[in-house]
Formats: sequence, structure tokens, C-alpha cells
Amino acid sequence: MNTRAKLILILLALVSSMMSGSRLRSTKASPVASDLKRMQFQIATIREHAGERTIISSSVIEGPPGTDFDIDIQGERFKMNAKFLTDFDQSNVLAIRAKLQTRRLYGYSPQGLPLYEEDEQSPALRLGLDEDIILLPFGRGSGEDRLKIEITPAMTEEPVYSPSGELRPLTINILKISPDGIVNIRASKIPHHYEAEARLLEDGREIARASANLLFEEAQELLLRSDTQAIAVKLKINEFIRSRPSDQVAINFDIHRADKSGNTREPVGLNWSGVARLGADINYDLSERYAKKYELRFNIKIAKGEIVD
Amino acid sequence: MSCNFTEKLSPMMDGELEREEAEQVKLHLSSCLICQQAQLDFLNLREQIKSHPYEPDASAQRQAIKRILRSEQTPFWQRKITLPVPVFSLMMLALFAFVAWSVYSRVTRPGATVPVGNYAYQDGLDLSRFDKGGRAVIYTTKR
Repeated sequence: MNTRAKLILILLALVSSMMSGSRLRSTKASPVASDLKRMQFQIATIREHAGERTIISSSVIEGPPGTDFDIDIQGERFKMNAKFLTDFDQSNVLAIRAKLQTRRLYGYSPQGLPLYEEDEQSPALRLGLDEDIILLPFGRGSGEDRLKIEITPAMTEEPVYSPSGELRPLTINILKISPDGIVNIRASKIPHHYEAEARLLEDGREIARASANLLFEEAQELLLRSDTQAIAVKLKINEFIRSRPSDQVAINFDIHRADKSGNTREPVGLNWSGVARLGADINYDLSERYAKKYELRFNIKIAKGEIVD
Repeated sequence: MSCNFTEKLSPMMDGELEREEAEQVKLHLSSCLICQQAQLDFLNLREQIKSHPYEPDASAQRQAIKRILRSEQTPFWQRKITLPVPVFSLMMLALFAFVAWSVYSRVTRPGATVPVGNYAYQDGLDLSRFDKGGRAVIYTTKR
């Protein structure tokens, strides 16, 4: 075989190996993502009385890292909603953003209207897999009787993705039902990490751009600087809306005009909101506030590496 | 020596015999020395008994009097109060009005609220036993 033929053969072999390599690679999961294991949260509602512990209800939630869950307690005159947004990073630390809302019937007004006592807390917790989260809906209490919710996180051996590459579905196993359904558990998996890009357009021409990584329900500032001015946009993703063919997010933001150094803020628009399709632009017209035609344009995508259903 | 009439002497002296029988005993007595002696003995004995000094026990007397009086008294729980019907009706009306006013004033006091006390859930788990008004607490702990 002459040299030319050999070169053609080598070239063909290289091309075919590249193409076969791409076919072998999974279409759904990256090699790194396929190593991910599912997480488990065991949630037990316990009554502590005179040194004794009685399990009132018990459930196990299993899903990919980043699974969120809600615990609701519904009594005749007391209600609690505890929301947990979980993130598990590479250092084996579980970061949990909790939101606790309680509502208690206090009594009745002289007009006979019900009076409620409400409370809201948003604690952030960081814990390892050798730690538990303890939630006391009625506080530490001084009496003998206490209600306690214990949340035990653990890693399972089951991969996040099935052999076919599909994301394994989230499961909730109820081991013991609470009497009269007083305790309810919900779980969900939505993306927490996003990449947001903001652009400022003057008469249809881009004059400033900024991008940032956004964490679900955490506000992040983007500073857009042009030659003549600068605006600061504080952007937050409030809600992930599962929609087909493309998912959506509900956003909320404030706009401030800043000097070139980024200081001296003057409000331009506060508490603006909208629903954006992931990967598509969403525009806001700022012309009323400026002499020229200015537009603020957002484009939000799910961050790379985020587990998506 | 004995006589059949001797045993009738004491009843005759106490006036316990019938008139005819008493006359018979008196007639016999006029001629019977034994019965005459017996009558003298009875009379002497009576005089001795009468002349014997008697002092009654004061404390025993008082206790006896108390027992007598107590037996004549009605127990407290068996006593009855008699009231005219209009008076009794007015008293009941006044009592009812007082109770109603006290309840109404507690409920409608300005700015007052009726705090929810102990309450029981219908069935199953009673959340009120845990609720002492404390604030929810969340923390982490090592296993």
C-alpha cells in the first residue's frame, strides 16, 4: 500500500474512532455525573416524655443531591411549615437553607375575631453526614412533654442515574403515618444553581454586560458599566416552574443607578418581577426613566453540572 | 312463823291493792301479830331510806341533761327554711343576674382577649400538650 493510501486509512480510522467515542458516551449523563450517589433524609417525629421517646411518624426521602423537602405540622390551633433547600458540595458538607413559619391561635378579640401569633425564621445550616438536624416546633420547652423532629442525612450507594441514563425518580417512603395526618412530608428536586447574564442596551445597541452565578432564592448583584453610566441590578430567582418544552423561572430584581465606581445608588426600579424561559431573553424597557431608549435584558440558564430531570 | 297475808302488806301500804282486798288485809292486821310486826318493819325501813342523805353527781346530771336536749334538737342538715315564694324568686333572679353579668364582663372587657387554654385535638395526637407558647428552634447535633 502506498503512503497516500496509508494516510487516508489512518485518517479514516481516526475519524471513525472519534465518532464511535461520541456514540459510546452517555447522552444523558456525563461521566462525572454518573458517579453521583443518591442522598437520603430520614425524618422522624418524636415525642419525648419523662425520659421516654415515642416515634409518632417516620419517613425516608431519597433523591439526588439537592433534593428539597417540606415538613408541615397541622393541628387544630397550630400550624408549622418548615422548608429545607439542600445543597451538597464536593467537600461533603450539606448546606441547608431552612425557612420556618409558624402560626398559632392566640385568642379572640372583643369583636370575636380570631387573633393569631405568627413567626418566621430563615436559618442557614452547614452540617456533615455525621450530624443530624433537630427541629423543635414548640421550642425547647420547660415541661415534661416535648415534640421533636429529627432529620438524619445519609449517602446511599445507589447512583443518581439509572443504567439507561435516566434520572432516578425521587421517592418518599412512609414508615409510620402520624395520627390524623398531623405531620406531612413533601419533597422535590429543582435546580438551585443558575447562570444569569444581564445586558444594557441603548437604542438597541449593547453598551454594558454583566454575568453572575445565582443560587435559588438568593439575591445577587450585577453591575453594568458603560462609558457614560453604571447601573446595579440585584437579581433573585424566586421560583422554578416546570414547563415543557422549556422550563421557566420567576425572577425579582431592583435597579439602582450608580456612579462609575459603583457607589451613590439612586433607585430606578424596585421590586420588579417577571417570568423568564430558561435560555431565552426577557426584556425590560427603561425608557421612561431615561431620555434615550434603554433596555435591560436578562438571559438565565441552568448552571453546568446541575442535576436536571 | 309466817303468814299468807304478809306479802300483801307492802302493796297495801303503797296503795296498790283494790279497796275490798285492802279492807280484808286491814281486818286481818288487827288480829295478826306477825303481820303487825311485818308492817312495823316495813315502816322502819321506809323511814331509814327517807332519812339517808343523798347527793346527786353534778357532771352526770349535766351529761344526762345534754343527752335529753340533744335528742330533742333537729340536725342541721334536716332543718328547713321557709321563705315566701316572691322572696325566693327575687333571690334566684338576683343570683342569675350576677352570674350573667360576671361572665359578660369577662368576655367583653375592652382590649381583653380570651387566651386559648388547654385544648384537645379531636382524636389522636394532642398538640396542646407540647405547646407552651415557645418559639420554634432548629439546630444541628453530632450523632
